[in-house]
Amino acid sequence: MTIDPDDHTVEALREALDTVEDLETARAILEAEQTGKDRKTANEAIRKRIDALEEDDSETVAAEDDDSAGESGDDEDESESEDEAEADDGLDHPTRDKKHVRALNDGTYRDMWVFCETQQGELLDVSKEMLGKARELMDQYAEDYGDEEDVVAFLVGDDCTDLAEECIAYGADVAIYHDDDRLERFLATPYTRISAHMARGQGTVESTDWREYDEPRYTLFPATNNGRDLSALVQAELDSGLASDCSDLYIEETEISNPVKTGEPGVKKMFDRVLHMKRPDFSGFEYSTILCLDNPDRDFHPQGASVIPGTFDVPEPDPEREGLVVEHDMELEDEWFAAEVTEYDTLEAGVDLTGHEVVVCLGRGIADDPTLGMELGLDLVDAFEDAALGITRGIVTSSYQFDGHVERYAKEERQIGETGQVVAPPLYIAAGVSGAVQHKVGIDESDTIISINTDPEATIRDFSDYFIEGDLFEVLPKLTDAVTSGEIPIEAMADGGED
Amino acid sequence: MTQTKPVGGLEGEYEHYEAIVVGCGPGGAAAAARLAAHDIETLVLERGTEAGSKNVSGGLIYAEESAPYTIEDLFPNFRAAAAERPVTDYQIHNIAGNKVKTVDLTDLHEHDTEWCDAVLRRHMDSWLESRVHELTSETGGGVLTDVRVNGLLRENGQIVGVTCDELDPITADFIVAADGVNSELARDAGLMDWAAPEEWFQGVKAVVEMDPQEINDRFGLEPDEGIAHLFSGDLFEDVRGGGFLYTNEDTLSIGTVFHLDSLVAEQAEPHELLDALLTHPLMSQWIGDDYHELEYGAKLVPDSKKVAHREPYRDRLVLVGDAGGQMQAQGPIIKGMNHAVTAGALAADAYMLTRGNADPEAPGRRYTTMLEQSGTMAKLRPRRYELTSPVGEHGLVTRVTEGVLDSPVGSLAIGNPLAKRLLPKAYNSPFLVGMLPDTQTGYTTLPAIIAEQHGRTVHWENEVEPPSLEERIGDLTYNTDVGNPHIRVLDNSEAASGAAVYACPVSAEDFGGGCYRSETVTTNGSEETLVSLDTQPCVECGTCAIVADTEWEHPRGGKGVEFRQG
Ligand SMILES: Cc1cc2nc3c(=O)[nH]c(=O)nc-3n(C[C@H](O)[C@H](O)[C@H](O)COP(=O)(O)OP(=O)(O)OC[C@H]3O[C@@H](n4cnc5c(N)ncnc54)[C@H](O)[C@@H]3O)c2cc1C
Ligand SMILES: Cc1cc2nc3c(=O)[nH]c(=O)nc-3n(C[C@H](O)[C@H](O)[C@H](O)COP(=O)(O)OP(=O)(O)OC[C@H]3O[C@@H](n4cnc5c(N)ncnc54)[C@H](O)[C@@H]3O)c2cc1C
Ligand code: SF4
Repeated sequence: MTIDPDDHTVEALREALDTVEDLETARAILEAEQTGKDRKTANEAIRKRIDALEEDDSETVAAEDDDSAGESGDDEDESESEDEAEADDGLDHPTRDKKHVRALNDGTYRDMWVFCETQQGELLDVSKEMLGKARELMDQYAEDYGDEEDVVAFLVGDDCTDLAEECIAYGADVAIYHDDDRLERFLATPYTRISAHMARGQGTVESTDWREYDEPRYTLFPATNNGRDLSALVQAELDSGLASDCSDLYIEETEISNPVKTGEPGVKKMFDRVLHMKRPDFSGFEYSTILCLDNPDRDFHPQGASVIPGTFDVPEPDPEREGLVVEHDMELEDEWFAAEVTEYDTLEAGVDLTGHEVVVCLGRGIADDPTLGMELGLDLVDAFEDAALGITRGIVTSSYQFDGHVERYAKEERQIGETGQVVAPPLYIAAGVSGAVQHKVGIDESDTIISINTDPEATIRDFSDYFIEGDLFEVLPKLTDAVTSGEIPIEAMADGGED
Repeated sequence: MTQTKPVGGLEGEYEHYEAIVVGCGPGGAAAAARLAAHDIETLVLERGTEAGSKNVSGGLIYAEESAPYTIEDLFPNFRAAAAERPVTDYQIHNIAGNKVKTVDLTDLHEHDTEWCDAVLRRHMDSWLESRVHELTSETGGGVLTDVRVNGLLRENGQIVGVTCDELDPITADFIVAADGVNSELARDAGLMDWAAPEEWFQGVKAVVEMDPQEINDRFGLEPDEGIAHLFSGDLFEDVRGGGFLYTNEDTLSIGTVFHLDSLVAEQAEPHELLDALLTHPLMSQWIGDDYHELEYGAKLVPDSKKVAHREPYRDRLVLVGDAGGQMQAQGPIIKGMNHAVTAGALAADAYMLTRGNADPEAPGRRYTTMLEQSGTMAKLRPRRYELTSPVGEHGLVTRVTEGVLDSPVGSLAIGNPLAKRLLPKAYNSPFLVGMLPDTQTGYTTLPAIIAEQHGRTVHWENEVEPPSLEERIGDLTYNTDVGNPHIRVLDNSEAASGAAVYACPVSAEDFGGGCYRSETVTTNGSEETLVSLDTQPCVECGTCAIVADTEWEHPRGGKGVEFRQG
């Protein structure tokens, strides 16, 4: 049926190849050549044939386009990247020289596990995104294979009960968590030990009797800093592989002819329920689809992936959803806590200008006396009940020397516009702002726009409801007085300037 | 994608390619195509999100008869697939006020020219990129976009690879710096400095939309014909330089190229110089009141006469194209792209010829020889220029010639009937044009006198209203690297960096929306003028790297301005 390239001279092989009509066979021959004699000219000849077949079969090409880097193999080490999905995490083949003491053969696997990372007592968005995707995948799975398997959320932290409940609302059937004061922050060793312990179904009967399998079928981790760390460690601990930084997932069967996976060259084997894990190639040239497949004498389960945050949508939570919340039980050894978090820092959340009744924005019109201009803007902000102060990029990047007490208002965190914040308050007041398009996109949705500018030709006039032609150093105090005294004579002030 | 070589040191540590080409403009594309043709594993790194998205050119690519390679040799079907109209007619207009003297330059243009096409760089370079990717993938490499090379990787003081913003360092046996003007690699290698404004031109250009039929009508062309118009004279006051208008399929490329030192000395605003050209009465026959500018762009251009590096290599690194200063201004004719192509291809051949030679500098030395022997270096640094310039550019000599020209005698000489016949001849002599010293005489005084003496007066109304800088910036596409400015002003005093306020093509005095702005600041009662910078509107032209005191880099891969036309 197939051709063993080792039996042919390159010349003879060329001829023999012409009789090959099927892409998979051609690819199998290439693999056989590469694992065998690996002759350059022979490889070329086979590739040529593959190309020709691919062209014939343009439909297949379109369908497999994305996978080309991972499957059609136009480079020597491609075959390697396919049969060793576990090497794909960029680490140095962590399991290659290990004795696979715990590696299973012919184990039973069920369910899709999702590591739900938390931060300051809340689920990260990516945790919810993965739960939504896992739900979708496993519903489809039930439909395709007739087996109802679960989405299992697993959490580690110091107070996870409520969060575990929340995971149910976001689509999990089971949520298993481990609480301990010492686990408030991510620590590689205990987090890894606990996760692996959970996955193997170790622990008290009460905490494990809901399941009857060796290890999860699939696991998902967030591709966050901590998630990347944990995913590699846990998957190595479970002696399986990892496709890191994935941007799409689907479950499908696949036919493989790679001898490492099939056990003998030239034979094709069907693998079903395979998690296809799509990720941008190292190079960024294309996408590769990574498969994590069992070898004949060694299993590679759970099939694991880490998922780039933001890839999937956050699902609508359903508080009515029912599910099982399980507290995991395990002794934590002190030495796992040898590494200690001594210091941490919450990055400035910055200033949120959205959600206010009024936003007052200052622009480079304050140049003549930047500090005074800023003070006048702040006075107006204070006059309103709920107002915030924003600035243009022109101010952020200026060399204005502000006095100490107002300096902090001149920072990037208050910038409004295309590369700053987008605001849409009921009332937006711009003083000394020219209205460049990059600023406009940040305020367009405001209900009422009032602008103050000395230049009647300023662009901002085109999209202002009220335009006050005047010097902001004079107009701002008047406006503040008016607001404080309870009468906003906008109509009056706009006289002469109104569009 | 690659094998890691089983050798010690950095080469074992990092990904390794046989050859790395930095930049996928014409120089890089040519080098990569040739390397792939030699079956060499080649990785091309390009910082743009697609090749061409960072590039601006005036737009005439020449195929010289005497050149060892043309772009069509390396990329069959280039002209049909990637170029705009061929240039079939070539004219220069000398301008003095409303007076214009037009000289047909077709002879000079056709000298040594096999063909010459107008191009738009986004279209051209992206086409080249896909070809280069095809070719290099066959030998185990490819093109990576959105990757900015930020420096050279050294081992024991020897260049062995490159470092990038986005990827781990990569080593290679051969490194081609085809990263254009303001080459960070050439600077890192110590081969080029960015110090002297007199070594550079600044090019500014607008791409204007126009229906193909209208182009044919307005310029008197058949669909497969194109024209080049050049402009010189007092249109630009005393700033040395000129303008151009080239016809594309359905757009016009209109721009100006000025000596950077002259821009600085005259405190000229580049966008105003472009506007002066756009609004000159002469232009009204070509561009009407329905002027629609698609894109405004700018880029520095090296002057090969002064900066073409005579030995453009160090260790395994070679410089190709603008990175090595190989941009020839042959009087009004600008030839950068074609020389970049030649140099790129020669560099690749040089590597092939010396492959296996243990001396890392062998390819560079061979490349240098090939540049000489192919006559390329002689074009880039003409000997006769080196003979004339020390005298011709000397201030005293300039003043004397200018004086003579201004005197009745001098003007008479140019104004006499004999001169009238000789004039087109002189302009059309590549030799004489090459000899024109780079002084005001050649650019302004002479053309203005020619126009005054011989010109006809044009009285057309020009109704073009060029967009303001604010509108031009607003029309550009930016992928801003928020919080990560790629340029820092080291000294923000007016003396050190004030020149950028006018010389930066997207900044102007009294314009708050540009990159550079001068601001009067009161500190402890004393007033001071300072320069502030916002890099967001930056079009990455390179000007302020030279005229201001800055720490200047290109933005990270895929960030910054994205040209759609180029
Ligand atoms: C207004 C104007 C008019 C001109 N008119 C003409 C003309 O009519 N005819 C002519 O022949 N020439 C003309 N030139 C000159 C011509 O454009 C250049 O000489 C030519 O583009 C040089 O080609 P190159 O390949 O060396 O560099 P470039 O075309 O500049 O290409 C360099 C490439 O490298 C990339 N790059 C840069 N740095 C990095 C990095 N660190 N990492 C990764 N990638 C990087 C860039 O994105 C770019 O794609 C003109 C120039 C201007 C500005
Ligand atoms: C890619 C990109 C992204 C950008 N993103 C943003 C962004 O997110 N947000 C943003 O704001 N900008 C952004 N910009 C910059 C934007 O283009 C403008 O440069 C900026 O908004 C101008 O700020 P301004 O209005 O304060 O200054 P200017 O444009 O200098 O305007 C000052 C105005 O004040 C008026 N004026 C002067 N004196 C007085 C006075 N005494 N009283 C009243 N009026 C006076 C003047 O007439 C003028 O209209 C971006 C630019 C680019 C290219
Ligand atoms: S900031 Fe500098 S590099 Fe950017 S456009 Fe202005 S002069 Fe050119």
